[in-house]
Amino acid sequence: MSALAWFIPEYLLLAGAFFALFAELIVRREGVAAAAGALFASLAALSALAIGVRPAAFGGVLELDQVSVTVRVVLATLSAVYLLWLAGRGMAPERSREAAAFVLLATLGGMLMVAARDLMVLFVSIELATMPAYLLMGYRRDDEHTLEGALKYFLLSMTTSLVMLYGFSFLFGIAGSTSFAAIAEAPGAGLLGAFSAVFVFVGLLAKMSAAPFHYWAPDAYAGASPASVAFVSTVPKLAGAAVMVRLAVILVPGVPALPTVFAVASLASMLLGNLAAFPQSDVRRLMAYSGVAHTGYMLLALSAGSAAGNAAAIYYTIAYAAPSMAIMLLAAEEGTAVDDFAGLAARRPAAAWTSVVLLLSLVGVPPMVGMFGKLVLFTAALDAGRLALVLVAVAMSVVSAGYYFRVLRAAFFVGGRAERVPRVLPAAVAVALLTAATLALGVFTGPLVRWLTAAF
Amino acid sequence: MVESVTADHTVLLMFIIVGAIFVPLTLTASHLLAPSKHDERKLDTYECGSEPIGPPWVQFRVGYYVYALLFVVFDIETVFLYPWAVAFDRMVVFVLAEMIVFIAILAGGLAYAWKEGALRWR
Repeated sequence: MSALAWFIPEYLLLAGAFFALFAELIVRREGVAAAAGALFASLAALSALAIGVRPAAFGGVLELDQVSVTVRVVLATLSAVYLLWLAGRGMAPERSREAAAFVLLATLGGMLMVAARDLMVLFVSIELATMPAYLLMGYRRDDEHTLEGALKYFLLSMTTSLVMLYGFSFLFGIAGSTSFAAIAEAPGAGLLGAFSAVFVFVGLLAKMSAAPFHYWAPDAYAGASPASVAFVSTVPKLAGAAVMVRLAVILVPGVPALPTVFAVASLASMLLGNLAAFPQSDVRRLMAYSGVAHTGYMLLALSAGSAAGNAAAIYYTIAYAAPSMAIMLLAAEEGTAVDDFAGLAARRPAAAWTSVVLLLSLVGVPPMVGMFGKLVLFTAALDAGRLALVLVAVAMSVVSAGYYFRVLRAAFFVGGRAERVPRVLPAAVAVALLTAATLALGVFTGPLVRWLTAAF
Repeated sequence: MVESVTADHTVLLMFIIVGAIFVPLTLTASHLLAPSKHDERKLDTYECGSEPIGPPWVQFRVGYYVYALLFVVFDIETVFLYPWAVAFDRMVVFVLAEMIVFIAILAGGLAYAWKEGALRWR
Protein backbone atom coordinates (compact mmCIF):
# COMPACT_ATOMS: atom_id res chain seq x y z
CA MET A 1 0.00 0.00 0.00
CA SER A 2 1.52 3.31 -0.97
CA ALA A 3 1.83 6.18 1.47
CA LEU A 4 -1.01 7.98 -0.32
CA ALA A 5 -3.44 5.32 0.85
CA TRP A 6 -2.50 5.76 4.52
CA PHE A 7 -4.33 9.02 4.59
CA ILE A 8 -7.65 7.76 3.31
CA PRO A 9 -9.36 8.89 6.58
CA GLU A 10 -8.26 12.45 5.85
CA TYR A 11 -9.58 12.26 2.26
CA LEU A 12 -12.84 10.90 3.58
CA LEU A 13 -13.20 13.85 5.98
CA LEU A 14 -12.42 16.36 3.23
CA ALA A 15 -14.85 14.68 0.85
CA GLY A 16 -17.40 14.53 3.67
CA ALA A 17 -17.04 18.25 4.37
CA PHE A 18 -17.77 19.08 0.73
CA PHE A 19 -20.53 16.54 0.50
CA ALA A 20 -22.15 18.00 3.63
CA LEU A 21 -22.27 21.45 2.03
CA PHE A 22 -24.20 20.16 -0.98
CA ALA A 23 -26.06 17.20 0.54
CA GLU A 24 -29.17 19.25 1.20
CA LEU A 25 -29.43 19.96 -2.52
CA ILE A 26 -30.03 16.25 -3.06
CA VAL A 27 -32.29 15.58 -0.09
CA ARG A 28 -34.03 18.75 0.97
CA ARG A 29 -34.22 18.18 4.71
CA GLU A 30 -32.46 19.87 7.60
CA GLY A 31 -30.00 17.47 9.23
CA VAL A 32 -29.17 15.42 6.13
CA ALA A 33 -25.77 17.09 5.86
CA ALA A 34 -24.86 16.24 9.45
CA ALA A 35 -26.04 12.66 8.98
CA ALA A 36 -23.90 12.32 5.85
CA GLY A 37 -21.01 13.88 7.77
CA ALA A 38 -21.46 11.36 10.58
CA LEU A 39 -21.27 8.57 8.00
CA PHE A 40 -18.06 9.97 6.50
CA ALA A 41 -16.50 10.51 9.93
CA SER A 42 -17.30 6.99 11.07
CA LEU A 43 -15.84 5.61 7.83
CA ALA A 44 -12.76 7.72 8.54
CA ALA A 45 -12.52 6.28 12.05
CA LEU A 46 -12.83 2.71 10.76
CA SER A 47 -10.27 3.22 8.01
CA ALA A 48 -7.87 4.91 10.43
CA LEU A 49 -8.20 1.89 12.67
CA ALA A 50 -7.61 -0.47 9.74
CA ILE A 51 -4.59 1.44 8.46
CA GLY A 52 -2.90 1.38 11.86
CA VAL A 53 0.73 2.25 12.48
CA ARG A 54 2.76 3.33 9.46
CA PRO A 55 6.28 4.74 9.04
CA ALA A 56 7.07 8.32 8.03
CA ALA A 57 5.62 9.37 4.68
CA PHE A 58 5.93 12.26 2.22
CA GLY A 59 9.56 13.06 3.00
CA GLY A 60 9.01 12.51 6.72
CA VAL A 61 6.43 15.25 7.32
CA LEU A 62 3.67 12.86 8.40
CA GLU A 63 3.96 9.70 10.44
CA LEU A 64 1.42 7.37 11.99
CA ASP A 65 2.76 6.03 15.27
CA GLN A 66 0.68 4.57 18.12
CA VAL A 67 -0.29 8.00 19.43
CA SER A 68 -1.32 9.28 16.00
CA VAL A 69 -3.39 6.18 15.31
CA THR A 70 -5.16 6.23 18.68
CA VAL A 71 -5.88 9.94 18.61
CA ARG A 72 -7.04 10.04 15.00
CA VAL A 73 -9.43 7.13 15.59
CA VAL A 74 -10.79 8.85 18.71
CA LEU A 75 -11.06 12.22 16.95
CA ALA A 76 -12.98 10.76 14.01
CA THR A 77 -15.22 8.76 16.33
CA LEU A 78 -15.98 11.77 18.52
CA SER A 79 -16.84 13.91 15.53
CA ALA A 80 -19.00 11.11 14.08
CA VAL A 81 -20.94 10.91 17.35
CA TYR A 82 -21.18 14.69 17.51
CA LEU A 83 -22.51 14.87 13.95
CA LEU A 84 -25.04 12.17 14.79
CA TRP A 85 -26.31 14.40 17.58
CA LEU A 86 -26.30 17.36 15.23
CA ALA A 87 -28.30 15.40 12.66
CA GLY A 88 -31.00 14.97 15.27
CA ARG A 89 -31.06 18.34 17.01
CA GLY A 90 -29.48 20.77 14.58
CA MET A 91 -28.01 24.15 15.45
CA ALA A 92 -31.25 26.10 15.78
CA PRO A 93 -31.95 28.80 14.87
CA GLU A 94 -29.20 28.49 12.23
CA ARG A 95 -29.05 25.65 9.70
CA SER A 96 -26.66 22.83 10.49
CA ARG A 97 -25.04 21.95 7.17
CA GLU A 98 -22.19 24.42 7.47
CA ALA A 99 -21.62 23.35 11.05
CA ALA A 100 -21.28 19.77 9.79
CA ALA A 101 -18.70 20.87 7.22
CA PHE A 102 -16.77 22.88 9.84
CA VAL A 103 -16.76 19.93 12.22
CA LEU A 104 -15.34 17.64 9.55
CA LEU A 105 -12.69 20.18 8.53
CA ALA A 106 -11.66 20.76 12.15
CA THR A 107 -11.39 17.03 12.67
CA LEU A 108 -9.28 16.78 9.52
CA GLY A 109 -6.99 19.45 10.95
CA GLY A 110 -6.80 17.61 14.26
CA MET A 111 -5.91 14.35 12.56
CA LEU A 112 -3.13 16.03 10.58
CA MET A 113 -1.92 17.71 13.79
CA VAL A 114 -1.28 14.38 15.46
CA ALA A 115 0.38 12.92 12.36
CA ALA A 116 2.62 15.94 11.68
CA ARG A 117 6.38 15.57 12.09
CA ASP A 118 7.29 18.96 10.73
CA LEU A 119 6.74 22.44 12.17
CA MET A 120 5.27 23.84 8.94
CA VAL A 121 2.80 20.99 8.50
CA LEU A 122 1.99 21.20 12.21
CA PHE A 123 1.23 24.90 12.05
CA VAL A 124 -0.97 24.59 8.97
CA SER A 125 -2.85 21.70 10.59
CA ILE A 126 -3.35 23.67 13.81
CA GLU A 127 -4.82 26.51 11.79
CA LEU A 128 -7.01 24.08 9.87
CA ALA A 129 -8.27 22.69 13.18
CA THR A 130 -8.93 26.07 14.81
CA MET A 131 -10.35 28.13 11.90
CA PRO A 132 -13.58 26.09 11.74
CA ALA A 133 -13.68 26.27 15.54
CA TYR A 134 -13.89 30.09 15.42
CA LEU A 135 -16.75 29.81 12.96
CA LEU A 136 -18.55 27.27 15.13
CA MET A 137 -18.17 29.49 18.19
CA GLY A 138 -19.73 32.38 16.30
CA TYR A 139 -22.36 30.26 14.63
CA ARG A 140 -25.36 32.20 15.93
CA ARG A 141 -24.76 35.21 13.77
CA ASP A 142 -27.55 37.42 15.08
CA ASP A 143 -26.57 37.10 18.75
CA GLU A 144 -24.32 39.83 20.14
CA HIS A 145 -22.91 37.68 22.95
CA THR A 146 -22.04 34.92 20.52
CA LEU A 147 -20.22 37.34 18.26
CA GLU A 148 -18.39 38.89 21.22
CA GLY A 149 -17.29 35.48 22.48
CA ALA A 150 -16.27 34.32 19.03
CA LEU A 151 -14.30 37.49 18.38
CA LYS A 152 -12.49 37.12 21.71
CA TYR A 153 -11.70 33.53 20.88
CA PHE A 154 -10.53 34.45 17.40
CA LEU A 155 -8.27 37.33 18.44
CA LEU A 156 -6.69 35.47 21.35
CA SER A 157 -6.24 32.30 19.39
CA MET A 158 -4.61 34.25 16.57
CA THR A 159 -2.30 35.98 19.03
CA THR A 160 -1.29 32.68 20.58
CA SER A 161 -0.72 31.26 17.10
CA LEU A 162 1.71 34.09 16.48
CA VAL A 163 3.48 33.54 19.80
CA MET A 164 3.82 29.87 18.93
CA LEU A 165 5.03 30.69 15.43
CA TYR A 166 7.64 33.00 16.91
CA GLY A 167 8.89 30.06 18.97
CA PHE A 168 8.85 27.85 15.86
CA SER A 169 11.02 30.37 14.02
CA PHE A 170 13.69 30.10 16.71
CA LEU A 171 13.50 26.31 16.69
CA PHE A 172 14.09 26.46 12.95
CA GLY A 173 17.00 28.81 13.54
CA ILE A 174 18.60 26.44 16.06
CA ALA A 175 18.08 23.21 14.12
CA GLY A 176 18.31 24.55 10.57
CA SER A 177 15.31 22.41 9.69
CA THR A 178 11.63 22.28 10.48
CA SER A 179 11.50 18.51 10.91
CA PHE A 180 10.93 17.18 14.44
CA ALA A 181 13.76 14.68 14.05
CA ALA A 182 16.29 17.41 13.25
CA ILE A 183 15.02 19.59 16.12
CA ALA A 184 15.28 16.67 18.56
CA GLU A 185 18.88 16.01 17.48
CA ALA A 186 19.94 19.65 17.47
CA PRO A 187 22.45 20.45 20.22
CA GLY A 188 20.90 21.99 23.35
CA ALA A 189 20.93 25.66 22.53
CA GLY A 190 20.95 26.88 26.13
CA LEU A 191 19.13 30.13 26.70
CA LEU A 192 17.91 30.46 23.11
CA GLY A 193 16.53 26.93 23.19
CA ALA A 194 14.69 27.65 26.44
CA PHE A 195 13.40 30.91 24.98
CA SER A 196 11.97 29.24 21.89
CA ALA A 197 10.50 26.32 23.85
CA VAL A 198 8.76 28.70 26.26
CA PHE A 199 7.24 30.63 23.35
CA VAL A 200 6.03 27.43 21.68
CA PHE A 201 4.46 26.15 24.88
CA VAL A 202 2.93 29.46 25.94
CA GLY A 203 1.13 29.44 22.60
CA LEU A 204 -0.01 25.86 23.07
CA LEU A 205 -0.99 26.34 26.72
CA ALA A 206 -3.13 29.30 25.75
CA LYS A 207 -4.82 27.26 23.03
CA MET A 208 -5.44 24.48 25.55
CA SER A 209 -6.82 27.09 28.00
CA ALA A 210 -4.33 26.27 30.75
CA ALA A 211 -3.81 28.80 33.53
CA PRO A 212 -2.44 31.49 33.45
CA PHE A 213 -3.59 31.76 29.82
CA HIS A 214 -7.14 30.54 30.35
CA TYR A 215 -9.00 33.84 30.63
CA TRP A 216 -10.52 33.72 27.15
CA ALA A 217 -12.22 30.36 27.58
CA PRO A 218 -15.13 31.16 29.94
CA ASP A 219 -16.19 34.23 27.98
CA ALA A 220 -15.86 32.54 24.61
CA TYR A 221 -17.77 29.46 25.76
CA ALA A 222 -20.47 31.42 27.54
CA GLY A 223 -21.24 33.34 24.37
CA ALA A 224 -21.37 30.37 22.05
CA SER A 225 -24.17 27.93 21.55
CA PRO A 226 -23.64 24.94 23.87
CA ALA A 227 -23.68 22.56 20.90
CA SER A 228 -20.66 24.39 19.46
CA VAL A 229 -18.90 24.30 22.83
CA ALA A 230 -19.43 20.53 22.99
CA PHE A 231 -17.26 20.14 19.92
CA VAL A 232 -14.75 22.97 20.35
CA SER A 233 -13.94 22.11 23.97
CA THR A 234 -13.18 18.46 23.21
CA VAL A 235 -11.97 17.51 19.73
CA PRO A 236 -9.39 20.26 19.09
CA LYS A 237 -8.29 19.93 22.73
CA LEU A 238 -7.47 16.26 22.30
CA ALA A 239 -5.44 16.98 19.18
CA GLY A 240 -3.74 19.83 21.05
CA ALA A 241 -2.83 17.55 23.94
CA ALA A 242 -1.23 15.08 21.53
CA VAL A 243 0.77 17.88 19.92
CA MET A 244 1.92 19.16 23.33
CA VAL A 245 3.12 15.70 24.25
CA ARG A 246 4.90 15.31 20.93
CA LEU A 247 6.66 18.66 21.20
CA ALA A 248 7.54 17.99 24.84
CA VAL A 249 9.21 14.75 23.78
CA ILE A 250 11.46 16.50 21.28
CA LEU A 251 12.11 19.67 23.31
CA VAL A 252 12.58 18.41 26.88
CA PRO A 253 16.05 16.86 26.24
CA GLY A 254 17.38 20.25 25.11
CA VAL A 255 15.48 22.30 27.71
CA PRO A 256 15.54 20.41 31.03
CA ALA A 257 13.49 23.12 32.75
CA LEU A 258 10.36 22.37 30.70
CA PRO A 259 8.85 19.77 33.08
CA THR A 260 9.01 22.39 35.83
CA VAL A 261 7.16 24.82 33.57
CA PHE A 262 4.48 22.18 33.02
CA ALA A 263 4.31 21.51 36.76
CA VAL A 264 3.76 25.21 37.54
CA ALA A 265 1.12 25.56 34.80
CA SER A 266 -0.48 22.36 36.08
CA LEU A 267 -0.66 23.65 39.66
CA ALA A 268 -2.09 26.99 38.55
CA SER A 269 -4.66 25.34 36.26
CA MET A 270 -5.82 22.81 38.83
CA LEU A 271 -6.26 25.40 41.57
CA LEU A 272 -7.74 28.14 39.44
CA GLY A 273 -9.96 25.92 37.31
CA ASN A 274 -11.50 24.03 40.19
CA LEU A 275 -11.94 26.99 42.53
CA ALA A 276 -13.28 29.35 39.86
CA ALA A 277 -15.80 26.77 38.67
CA PHE A 278 -17.60 26.95 42.01
CA PRO A 279 -19.58 30.18 41.75
CA GLN A 280 -20.58 29.64 38.11
CA SER A 281 -24.28 29.43 37.37
CA ASP A 282 -23.89 28.80 33.64
CA VAL A 283 -23.02 25.25 32.60
CA ARG A 284 -20.82 26.54 29.77
CA ARG A 285 -18.75 28.67 32.16
CA LEU A 286 -18.64 25.83 34.65
CA MET A 287 -17.38 23.45 31.98
CA ALA A 288 -14.90 26.06 30.73
CA TYR A 289 -13.30 26.26 34.17
CA SER A 290 -13.55 22.51 34.55
CA GLY A 291 -11.73 22.30 31.21
CA VAL A 292 -8.98 24.50 32.65
CA ALA A 293 -8.74 22.12 35.60
CA HIS A 294 -8.60 19.04 33.40
CA THR A 295 -5.88 20.61 31.27
CA GLY A 296 -4.07 21.03 34.59
CA TYR A 297 -4.31 17.29 35.29
CA MET A 298 -3.07 16.59 31.77
CA LEU A 299 -0.10 18.89 32.37
CA LEU A 300 0.64 17.06 35.61
CA ALA A 301 1.17 13.89 33.56
CA LEU A 302 3.30 15.84 31.09
CA SER A 303 5.44 17.23 33.91
CA ALA A 304 6.50 13.67 34.73
CA GLY A 305 8.65 13.81 31.61
CA SER A 306 8.47 10.04 31.21
CA ALA A 307 7.02 7.73 28.57
CA ALA A 308 4.35 6.64 31.04
CA GLY A 309 3.51 10.27 31.77
CA ASN A 310 3.19 11.13 28.10
CA ALA A 311 0.90 8.16 27.49
CA ALA A 312 -1.13 9.09 30.57
CA ALA A 313 -1.55 12.67 29.34
CA ILE A 314 -3.08 11.46 26.09
CA TYR A 315 -5.19 8.78 27.74
CA TYR A 316 -6.48 11.28 30.28
CA THR A 317 -7.51 13.75 27.60
CA ILE A 318 -9.42 10.99 25.80
CA ALA A 319 -11.07 10.04 29.10
CA TYR A 320 -12.03 13.68 29.61
CA ALA A 321 -13.32 14.33 26.09
CA ALA A 322 -16.17 11.81 25.94
CA PRO A 323 -18.07 12.77 29.13
CA SER A 324 -17.35 16.47 28.64
CA MET A 325 -18.84 16.43 25.13
CA ALA A 326 -21.88 14.50 26.36
CA ILE A 327 -22.54 16.95 29.22
CA MET A 328 -22.41 19.90 26.86
CA LEU A 329 -24.77 18.11 24.47
CA LEU A 330 -27.20 17.59 27.35
CA ALA A 331 -26.85 21.28 28.18
CA ALA A 332 -27.61 22.07 24.55
CA GLU A 333 -30.85 20.12 24.93
CA GLU A 334 -31.87 21.30 28.40
CA GLY A 335 -30.59 24.85 28.66
CA THR A 336 -27.31 26.41 29.65
CA ALA A 337 -28.01 27.55 33.19
CA VAL A 338 -27.41 25.12 36.03
CA ASP A 339 -31.00 25.89 37.07
CA ASP A 340 -32.21 24.59 33.70
CA PHE A 341 -31.25 21.13 34.89
CA ALA A 342 -33.78 21.45 37.71
CA GLY A 343 -36.39 18.75 37.54
CA LEU A 344 -34.44 16.76 34.96
CA ALA A 345 -34.87 13.53 36.93
CA ALA A 346 -38.63 13.94 36.82
CA ARG A 347 -39.02 14.79 33.15
CA ARG A 348 -36.11 12.82 31.65
CA PRO A 349 -34.91 10.14 34.09
CA ALA A 350 -32.57 8.58 31.52
CA ALA A 351 -30.87 11.88 30.81
CA ALA A 352 -30.57 12.59 34.54
CA TRP A 353 -28.89 9.24 35.24
CA THR A 354 -26.69 9.75 32.18
CA SER A 355 -25.48 13.03 33.62
CA VAL A 356 -24.71 11.22 36.90
CA VAL A 357 -22.40 8.83 35.02
CA LEU A 358 -20.77 11.64 33.03
CA LEU A 359 -20.19 14.00 35.95
CA LEU A 360 -18.94 11.24 38.24
CA SER A 361 -16.47 10.31 35.51
CA LEU A 362 -15.25 13.92 35.42
CA VAL A 363 -14.84 13.85 39.20
CA GLY A 364 -12.95 10.55 38.89
CA VAL A 365 -15.23 8.09 40.64
CA PRO A 366 -14.87 4.39 39.78
CA PRO A 367 -15.84 2.56 37.61
CA MET A 368 -16.03 5.40 35.09
CA VAL A 369 -13.18 6.08 32.67
CA GLY A 370 -12.20 9.34 34.37
CA MET A 371 -11.04 7.40 37.42
CA PHE A 372 -8.79 5.17 35.31
CA GLY A 373 -7.44 8.25 33.54
CA LYS A 374 -6.57 9.83 36.88
CA LEU A 375 -5.08 6.56 38.10
CA VAL A 376 -2.54 6.23 35.27
CA LEU A 377 -1.87 9.94 35.50
CA PHE A 378 -1.18 9.95 39.25
CA THR A 379 0.93 6.78 38.97
CA ALA A 380 3.12 8.35 36.30
CA ALA A 381 3.44 11.59 38.27
CA LEU A 382 4.30 9.73 41.50
CA ASP A 383 6.97 7.71 39.68
CA ALA A 384 8.49 11.02 38.62
CA GLY A 385 8.47 12.22 42.24
CA ARG A 386 5.73 14.82 41.97
CA LEU A 387 4.10 13.86 45.27
CA ALA A 388 3.05 17.37 46.28
CA LEU A 389 1.35 18.04 42.96
CA VAL A 390 -0.45 14.70 43.07
CA LEU A 391 -1.75 15.56 46.54
CA VAL A 392 -3.05 18.88 45.22
CA ALA A 393 -4.63 17.07 42.28
CA VAL A 394 -6.39 14.57 44.54
CA ALA A 395 -7.62 17.35 46.80
CA MET A 396 -8.84 19.32 43.81
CA SER A 397 -10.66 16.26 42.43
CA VAL A 398 -12.59 16.13 45.68
CA VAL A 399 -13.27 19.86 45.44
CA SER A 400 -14.47 19.42 41.85
CA ALA A 401 -17.18 17.07 43.11
CA GLY A 402 -18.69 20.14 44.76
CA TYR A 403 -19.51 22.00 41.59
CA TYR A 404 -20.34 18.96 39.47
CA PHE A 405 -22.78 17.83 42.14
CA ARG A 406 -24.50 21.21 41.99
CA VAL A 407 -25.73 20.20 38.54
CA LEU A 408 -26.85 16.83 39.90
CA ARG A 409 -28.52 18.45 42.90
CA ALA A 410 -30.52 20.63 40.52
CA ALA A 411 -31.39 17.60 38.39
CA PHE A 412 -32.57 15.38 41.23
CA PHE A 413 -33.60 17.46 44.22
CA VAL A 414 -34.95 20.68 42.77
CA GLY A 415 -38.30 20.87 41.08
CA GLY A 416 -38.34 22.40 37.64
CA ARG A 417 -40.43 22.73 34.54
CA ALA A 418 -42.33 19.62 33.55
CA GLU A 419 -42.45 19.87 29.75
CA ARG A 420 -39.59 18.02 28.10
CA VAL A 421 -37.76 18.56 24.83
CA PRO A 422 -39.09 16.30 22.07
CA ARG A 423 -37.43 12.91 21.80
CA VAL A 424 -34.94 12.70 18.93
CA LEU A 425 -33.49 9.27 18.26
CA PRO A 426 -30.08 10.18 16.71
CA ALA A 427 -29.34 12.64 19.52
CA ALA A 428 -30.29 10.08 22.16
CA VAL A 429 -28.07 7.47 20.48
CA ALA A 430 -25.16 9.93 20.37
CA VAL A 431 -25.37 10.75 24.08
CA ALA A 432 -25.87 7.06 24.89
CA LEU A 433 -22.74 6.14 22.90
CA LEU A 434 -20.65 8.72 24.75
CA THR A 435 -22.03 7.51 28.07
CA ALA A 436 -21.34 3.89 27.17
CA ALA A 437 -17.77 4.87 26.27
CA THR A 438 -17.46 6.65 29.61
CA LEU A 439 -18.61 3.52 31.40
CA ALA A 440 -16.75 0.92 29.38
CA LEU A 441 -13.54 2.55 28.18
CA GLY A 442 -11.92 1.99 31.57
CA VAL A 443 -11.74 -1.73 30.82
CA PHE A 444 -9.24 -1.06 28.05
CA THR A 445 -7.03 1.24 30.14
CA GLY A 446 -4.14 -1.20 30.57
CA PRO A 447 -3.75 -2.28 26.92
CA LEU A 448 -4.39 1.22 25.60
CA VAL A 449 -1.84 2.88 27.88
CA ARG A 450 0.76 0.17 27.10
CA TRP A 451 0.09 0.68 23.39
CA LEU A 452 0.45 4.47 23.76
CA THR A 453 3.62 4.09 25.84
CA ALA A 454 5.20 2.11 23.00
CA ALA A 455 5.28 5.30 20.91
CA PHE A 456 7.73 7.05 23.22
CA MET B 1 34.09 42.38 -4.74
CA VAL B 2 34.26 44.80 -1.83
CA GLU B 3 35.33 47.63 -4.16
CA SER B 4 32.45 47.04 -6.57
CA VAL B 5 30.04 47.05 -3.66
CA THR B 6 31.40 50.36 -2.36
CA ALA B 7 31.29 51.80 -5.90
CA ASP B 8 27.60 50.86 -6.17
CA HIS B 9 26.93 52.42 -2.82
CA THR B 10 28.72 55.62 -3.80
CA VAL B 11 26.15 56.09 -6.54
CA LEU B 12 23.38 55.46 -4.02
CA LEU B 13 24.89 57.95 -1.58
CA MET B 14 25.20 60.59 -4.33
CA PHE B 15 21.59 59.99 -5.30
CA ILE B 16 20.45 60.49 -1.70
CA ILE B 17 22.49 63.69 -1.34
CA VAL B 18 21.29 65.14 -4.66
CA GLY B 19 17.74 64.21 -3.79
CA ALA B 20 18.00 65.75 -0.33
CA ILE B 21 19.25 69.02 -1.83
CA PHE B 22 17.22 69.15 -5.05
CA VAL B 23 13.73 68.55 -3.66
CA PRO B 24 13.75 71.25 -0.92
CA LEU B 25 15.54 73.60 -3.35
CA THR B 26 12.86 73.37 -6.05
CA LEU B 27 10.02 73.54 -3.54
CA THR B 28 11.51 76.61 -1.85
CA ALA B 29 12.19 78.25 -5.23
CA SER B 30 8.61 77.72 -6.42
CA HIS B 31 7.31 79.00 -3.09
CA LEU B 32 9.37 82.17 -3.39
CA LEU B 33 8.95 82.80 -7.13
CA ALA B 34 5.33 81.82 -7.81
CA PRO B 35 2.52 84.25 -7.08
CA SER B 36 0.35 83.03 -4.20
CA LYS B 37 -3.38 83.85 -4.35
CA HIS B 38 -5.57 81.71 -2.09
CA ASP B 39 -9.30 81.43 -2.34
CA GLU B 40 -11.77 79.05 -0.77
CA ARG B 41 -11.86 76.64 -3.71
CA LYS B 42 -8.07 76.38 -3.77
CA LEU B 43 -7.79 75.67 -0.05
CA ASP B 44 -10.32 72.85 -0.28
CA THR B 45 -9.41 69.14 -0.23
CA TYR B 46 -8.91 68.65 -3.95
CA GLU B 47 -6.62 71.09 -5.74
CA CYS B 48 -8.15 70.10 -9.08
CA GLY B 49 -11.29 71.97 -8.10
CA SER B 50 -13.69 69.12 -7.47
CA GLU B 51 -15.97 69.83 -4.57
CA PRO B 52 -15.93 67.04 -1.95
CA ILE B 53 -19.38 65.55 -1.24
CA GLY B 54 -20.01 64.66 2.41
CA PRO B 55 -17.49 63.68 5.08
CA PRO B 56 -14.79 61.06 4.31
CA TRP B 57 -15.81 58.78 7.24
CA VAL B 58 -18.78 57.14 5.54
CA GLN B 59 -19.79 53.55 6.21
CA PHE B 60 -19.05 51.09 3.46
CA ARG B 61 -21.52 48.40 2.52
CA VAL B 62 -20.70 45.34 4.60
CA GLY B 63 -21.61 43.28 1.53
CA TYR B 64 -18.19 44.04 0.11
CA TYR B 65 -16.55 41.57 2.48
CA VAL B 66 -17.80 38.65 0.41
CA TYR B 67 -16.01 40.07 -2.60
CA ALA B 68 -12.91 40.66 -0.52
CA LEU B 69 -12.96 37.04 0.64
CA LEU B 70 -13.51 35.67 -2.84
CA PHE B 71 -10.73 37.91 -4.10
CA VAL B 72 -8.34 36.50 -1.49
CA VAL B 73 -9.32 32.97 -2.49
CA PHE B 74 -8.41 33.57 -6.11
CA ASP B 75 -5.35 35.58 -5.15
CA ILE B 76 -3.96 32.64 -3.21
CA GLU B 77 -4.87 30.33 -6.07
CA THR B 78 -2.80 32.48 -8.44
CA VAL B 79 0.11 32.51 -6.03
CA PHE B 80 0.12 28.72 -6.04
CA LEU B 81 -0.55 28.35 -9.74
CA TYR B 82 2.36 30.52 -10.91
CA PRO B 83 5.31 28.46 -9.60
CA TRP B 84 3.42 25.33 -10.58
CA ALA B 85 2.95 26.54 -14.14
CA VAL B 86 6.57 27.67 -14.44
CA ALA B 87 7.90 24.25 -13.42
CA PHE B 88 5.13 22.37 -15.21
CA ASP B 89 7.31 20.66 -17.86
CA ARG B 90 9.58 19.15 -15.20
CA MET B 91 6.91 17.54 -13.04
CA VAL B 92 5.25 14.15 -12.85
CA VAL B 93 1.57 13.46 -13.38
CA PHE B 94 1.05 13.29 -9.60
CA VAL B 95 1.66 17.02 -9.28
CA LEU B 96 -0.94 17.68 -11.97
CA ALA B 97 -3.41 15.59 -9.99
CA GLU B 98 -2.53 17.54 -6.82
CA MET B 99 -3.21 20.84 -8.53
CA ILE B 100 -6.50 19.53 -9.90
CA VAL B 101 -7.51 18.57 -6.34
CA PHE B 102 -6.51 22.04 -5.11
CA ILE B 103 -8.51 23.79 -7.82
CA ALA B 104 -11.45 21.45 -7.24
CA ILE B 105 -11.51 22.40 -3.54
CA LEU B 106 -11.52 26.09 -4.43
CA ALA B 107 -14.14 25.55 -7.13
CA GLY B 108 -16.29 23.71 -4.59
CA GLY B 109 -16.04 26.68 -2.22
CA LEU B 110 -16.95 29.09 -5.00
CA ALA B 111 -19.84 26.90 -6.09
CA TYR B 112 -21.17 26.91 -2.53
CA ALA B 113 -20.80 30.70 -2.25
CA TRP B 114 -22.65 31.01 -5.56
CA LYS B 115 -25.41 28.65 -4.48
CA GLU B 116 -25.83 30.61 -1.25
CA GLY B 117 -26.33 33.77 -3.25
CA ALA B 118 -23.12 35.42 -2.08
CA LEU B 119 -22.48 36.67 -5.62
CA ARG B 120 -25.85 38.37 -5.92
CA TRP B 121 -25.74 42.09 -5.20
CA ARG B 122 -28.35 43.04 -2.65
